[in-house]
Amino acid sequence: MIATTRQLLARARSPQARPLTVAVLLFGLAAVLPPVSLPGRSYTHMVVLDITQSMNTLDYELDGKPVDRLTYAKHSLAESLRALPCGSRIGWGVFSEYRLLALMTPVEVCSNYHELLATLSSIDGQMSWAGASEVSKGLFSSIRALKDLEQKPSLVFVTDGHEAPPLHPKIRPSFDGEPGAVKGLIVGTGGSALSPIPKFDPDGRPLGYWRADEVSQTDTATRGRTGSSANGEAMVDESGQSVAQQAVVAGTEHLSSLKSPHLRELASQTGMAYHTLADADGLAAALTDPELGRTQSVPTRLSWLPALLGVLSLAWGFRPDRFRR
Amino acid sequence: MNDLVLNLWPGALELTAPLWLLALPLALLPLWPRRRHSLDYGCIDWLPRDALGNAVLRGGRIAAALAIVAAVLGLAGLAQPATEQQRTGRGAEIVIVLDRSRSMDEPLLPKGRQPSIDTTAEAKGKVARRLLAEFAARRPEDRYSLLLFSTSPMLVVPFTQHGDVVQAGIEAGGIGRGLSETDIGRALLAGAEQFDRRAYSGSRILLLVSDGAAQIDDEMRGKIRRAFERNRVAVYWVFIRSTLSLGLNADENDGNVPEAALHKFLKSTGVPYEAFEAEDPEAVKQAVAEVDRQQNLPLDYVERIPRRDFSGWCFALALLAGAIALACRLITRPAWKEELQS
Repeated sequence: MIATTRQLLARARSPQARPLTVAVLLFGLAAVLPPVSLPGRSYTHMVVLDITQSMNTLDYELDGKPVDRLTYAKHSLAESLRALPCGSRIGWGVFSEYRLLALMTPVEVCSNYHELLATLSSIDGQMSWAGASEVSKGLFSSIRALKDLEQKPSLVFVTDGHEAPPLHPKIRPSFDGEPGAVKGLIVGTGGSALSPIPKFDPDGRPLGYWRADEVSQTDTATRGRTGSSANGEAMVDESGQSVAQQAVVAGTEHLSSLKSPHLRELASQTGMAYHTLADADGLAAALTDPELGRTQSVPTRLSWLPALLGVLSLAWGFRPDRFRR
Repeated sequence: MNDLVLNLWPGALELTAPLWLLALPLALLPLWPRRRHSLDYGCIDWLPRDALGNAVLRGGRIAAALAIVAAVLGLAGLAQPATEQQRTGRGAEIVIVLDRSRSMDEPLLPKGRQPSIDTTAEAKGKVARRLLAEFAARRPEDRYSLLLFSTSPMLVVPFTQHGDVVQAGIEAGGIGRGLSETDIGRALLAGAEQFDRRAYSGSRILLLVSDGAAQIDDEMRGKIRRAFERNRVAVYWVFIRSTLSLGLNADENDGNVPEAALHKFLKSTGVPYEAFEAEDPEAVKQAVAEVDRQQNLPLDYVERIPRRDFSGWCFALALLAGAIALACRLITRPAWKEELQS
């Protein structure tokens, strides 16, 4: 008995059988190897969509039809969710007036993919609770809101940068936070040319386009105090000097285009990145920028390695005669 | 997520990394005719035919080919994709209509405490979110939809069974302050309309969580009542009392008591209706118990069967086949020359 076993073992080690023996051992290893924790990259994004009226401007194209900025941004976001590695988390929020309204804190992408899409598709301009669109303040307050969250999400702020009422060139909302404390990405949407902004009633019925005399063409500082004092007392700065008033010219605030210089400046002020939305692939690449990711241990299956070696070993054991000595 | 997925059998089998299949031709190698076991010998006609030996040899080669096929399938990530299966259980479809107005940021004070200096009390919204999270966690089989409202209703999560998504929606209410206005009428209507054009599959509940400070005009009341009746919705109101509120049962005509008016209106709609006071720590238990008692009609729900990875099994099969091939190799006597060495 022992002799037979010894003989079998000897045969198993013989050059004839060795590749087979090795392959069997490797397949055994592949079958039992548990997933190993390896560092992998994942992302936690809080995606905030601008739902103010300028986002209804039709300056994108989808399947040959003109679509508005919000629709195109939603479409691109839905596509780029697939590019995020499992374990990443996405949350949704909307921006209107001067603030963020969070709809969903970040949840895992792969297991909640359909739910995330369902919530994304229910986001529209009718959710908006006010007419104003103070992008800078909205961005700053979003950063403040996210700073204290447990999951430390990065902020993805999707906007066209259209400020309504417009900003005074000198008096701008100031960012009092620490640049880079909340990492993030500003996604600029919109075309480079000025386009009319569609107008809707509260129930979403179209009412044509906004006209020049229907929107505020000047910033609040230039307008001065029209409310309490009759003749519009001019604003003064800290030293009491009257703030240079902007010449009131026929404005273009009823038209909208992507304000990328403004957004780039906001990005550099807050330590965020800037990306102009062109297509889903570009957005996916921007969302998976290693800068925004974090490394955490991800259970990784490594059994492919011994299995592959096993296959090669078997193939070697049965290699055609002509490759033999 | 990998885009390159090959569906072998839609819904039953898929390959997550089909490119590995390019290695499949390697399985032909063991089957390739070869002359390895032939020897230079003048005449073999006198040798008896070894039928058993030939069969074992052939079996070994087939087993080796199988081992390669199995291992390659394992490498290609053979798996059963995540599927959904219709099942019928007991439960309810619940639309949570959550007040996101600024009044919800105020502290919830126990009766009789002074509002001005008491900072220990939790904000009403926080209490509401905690209660809801508990409620959703206690009834995990139910299907939930979450609707926020202030100026206008906002659908956050359409009907889902994913508890973590519902919890994330509830949790999101804690970020930032509330919005300025409260249009509870439109919110109730939007909540009831969630059930429109939905197959009736289980009890339907509208769970209103609000401090309820808004009047509803008659036209809106009519619409809401019709939507409730049309969709056979039961209404539960988790009422979060404002500091100076007179409560739900105050006389409606005694000044401006919108919550009492709403309470009276909801009672008059004719659908099952129940109000719970949130400051009562037992309120959630009560609400859950109430729902448990009344709302457990058969609910058609979708059970998600998670993805099953078969690559481990493939490798086990490769191990087995490889072991058979090895055994065949070991029990057959190799070429005489090698045997002579030992």
